[in-house]
Amino acid sequence: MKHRCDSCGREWDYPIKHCIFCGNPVSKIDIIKYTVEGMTKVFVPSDDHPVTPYYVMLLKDLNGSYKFQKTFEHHNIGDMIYTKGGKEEEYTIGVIGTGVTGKGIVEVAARTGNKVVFKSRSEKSVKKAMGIILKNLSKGMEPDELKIVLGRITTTTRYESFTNADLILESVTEDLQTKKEIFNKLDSICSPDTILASNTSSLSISEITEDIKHPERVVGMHFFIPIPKMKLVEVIKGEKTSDDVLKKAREFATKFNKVSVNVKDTSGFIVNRLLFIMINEACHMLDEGIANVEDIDKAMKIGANHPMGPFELADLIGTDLCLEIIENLNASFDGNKFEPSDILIDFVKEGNSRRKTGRRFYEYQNNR
Amino acid sequence: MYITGIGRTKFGVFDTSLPELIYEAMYKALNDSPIGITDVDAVIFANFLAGPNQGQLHLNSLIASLLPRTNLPIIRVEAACASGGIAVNQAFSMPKKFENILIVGAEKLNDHTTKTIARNLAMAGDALRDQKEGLIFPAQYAILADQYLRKYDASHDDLMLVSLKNHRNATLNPLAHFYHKDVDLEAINSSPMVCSPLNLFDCCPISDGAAAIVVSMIKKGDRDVKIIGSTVKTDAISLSQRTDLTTFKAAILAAKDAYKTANVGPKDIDIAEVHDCFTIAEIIAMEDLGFCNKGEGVKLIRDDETSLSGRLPINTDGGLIGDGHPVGASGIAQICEIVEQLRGGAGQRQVPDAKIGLAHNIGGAGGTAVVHILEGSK
Repeated sequence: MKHRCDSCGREWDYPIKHCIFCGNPVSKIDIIKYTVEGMTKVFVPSDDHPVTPYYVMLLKDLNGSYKFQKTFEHHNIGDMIYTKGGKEEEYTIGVIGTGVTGKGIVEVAARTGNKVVFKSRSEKSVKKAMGIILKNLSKGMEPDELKIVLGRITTTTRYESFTNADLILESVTEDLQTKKEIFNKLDSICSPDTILASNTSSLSISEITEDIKHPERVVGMHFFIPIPKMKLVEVIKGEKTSDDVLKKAREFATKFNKVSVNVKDTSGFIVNRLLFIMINEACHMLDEGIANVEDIDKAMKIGANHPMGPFELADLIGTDLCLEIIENLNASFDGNKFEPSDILIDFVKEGNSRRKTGRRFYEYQNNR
Repeated sequence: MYITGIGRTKFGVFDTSLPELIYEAMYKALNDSPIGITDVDAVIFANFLAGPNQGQLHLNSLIASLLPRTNLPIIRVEAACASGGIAVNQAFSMPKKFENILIVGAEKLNDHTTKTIARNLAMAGDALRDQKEGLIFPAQYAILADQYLRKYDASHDDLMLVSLKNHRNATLNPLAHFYHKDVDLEAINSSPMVCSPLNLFDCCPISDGAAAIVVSMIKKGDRDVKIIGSTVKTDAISLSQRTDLTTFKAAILAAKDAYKTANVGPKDIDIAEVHDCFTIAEIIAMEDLGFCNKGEGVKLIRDDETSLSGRLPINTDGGLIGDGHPVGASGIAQICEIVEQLRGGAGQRQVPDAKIGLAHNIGGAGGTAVVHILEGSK
């Protein structure tokens, strides 16, 4: 962040309000795009920078002003760098996964002033995801601001781009083996200071990290869909997650403009454990013919002051995903309190889900 | 203003404490001058890092402890590596209330690990723009070298020649940090990398030491050396806040003003002490001081024009690279060397017929520049 006098053009790097030369107000300028003009590779460790060698790049912005930036990666002279502009953009957030949650996290992290490195397995999928992010971001944002926010996001297909990240959020398929492989990879290449977080909604953090060297830096950060709107993040402590990492994860949640809660590594954490017992029970009620979809939703909205009824919510989440989560919960707890209702099983078996066929519980009921 | 006495400690790695170093230099300077401590009207003390290094501040009062019952007015000045130069300029610029002023600079660096020293020396740069990004002190000059070597027809081989010359001069200066060190190009070339493109021999050492001078508004004798020009100029603290990273604008401006005050030009200078904290700094200094055109500093070195037998000997005491760089003392030690030369008392490294000398002292990476021009009585 630079501060420039509107009348004489002098610039400061400090948050001053009035120009000392002409007394005029000073404007803030956020600069994010630089070219590499020079560099030095530092071999001497110092108290504040004990890990060597590292590089300090001399970066030049479009106005010809310089700044320095430390990096562990080698860059070539002339490379374009999108960089943290000032105090408000202190962190680099890595995001893995181009699904609804991955895209949502990218959007939120970039909006709240962080540098984002967005990874997918292929150029094509990451490009497609960026198209959707662009569309979402452009709603209600001035072109100038949009440019700045988009400038914070870089895309990659390589894990190596994450070496300097402060926090990496994994948001891929809910498959234990896939997540394990990702965390093993991250653990081996990332700086020891990097916090690794999984956005899993149903898997155990302790299980995901059972084979890795530094499980203490792995934490669960469970976001809620739609991520840009939903304010909650459940911060999950794995068996070996350190208190410091837990604290930092909550600080990141705050930085993302979210509210966080602490919860132990158990199936469904807080929200899903309560939510899916309700959705499943609503399905049981429908199955038993106790009330229809509309009335169950209406009752919960008005009677319990919920903003959405259980079926509306199930349709929003995706009935296939709902069933998957309920089955996972059922397997994790003794007894049959999470036994999936037949109507939900049938609905999904017929290939229905809002995302796949566009059919919703509301229509399903009427066709039965 | 006349310099009536000089004194300094040996520079190097010592067990001696900061107050002891200060005391030794003051003692020697007063001993060298017809002015005694009771004739001194004020003291100016230059130091950079006693706060973070020794946990010692309130340094003007610390000096008072070394000069019991004098109750003199004493001030401490700090401008990173230019602290010494600033102190001399301070005396020069003071209202002429004080007739005789004792100026002393000292630094104690070797009582910490190099990691801590690297962190503390980095305090000469901007806390956020430089320090936070890992731009430790040698890295600042590495960036300057990087930019210079990209811009001009110069290579690291040229920088090595600066190191070689200054180490050779140091072997003729018994008080130098590297008095006993024989250095050749092979040793320079094979030394470990510090911050590319600078290796160990491109850098000045981390030295302890102190230097002092006694100045008077009144000429005391024929060995007095007159300060005929003294100028301080500044620039933004971080290199990233400048436009040209192959030159120090503050030094150009300070030189211009000092030449004007002294009524001399670069061609009139017989010897110079320039701030060679790194080899690249000496190249840049020669250009900033007008000894040659921009980009031609390397030519002076290649053509041997700045060695002891050259047209314009530079850093005859070994410079910061060979003599050592006890930060707060350096600017004053440069003055001491010019005085020795102008008096004709520099022994084996004496430059014949030196009449006008220049001292160029830089703080940080050019954020402060002090230029002094001195004239001998002979």
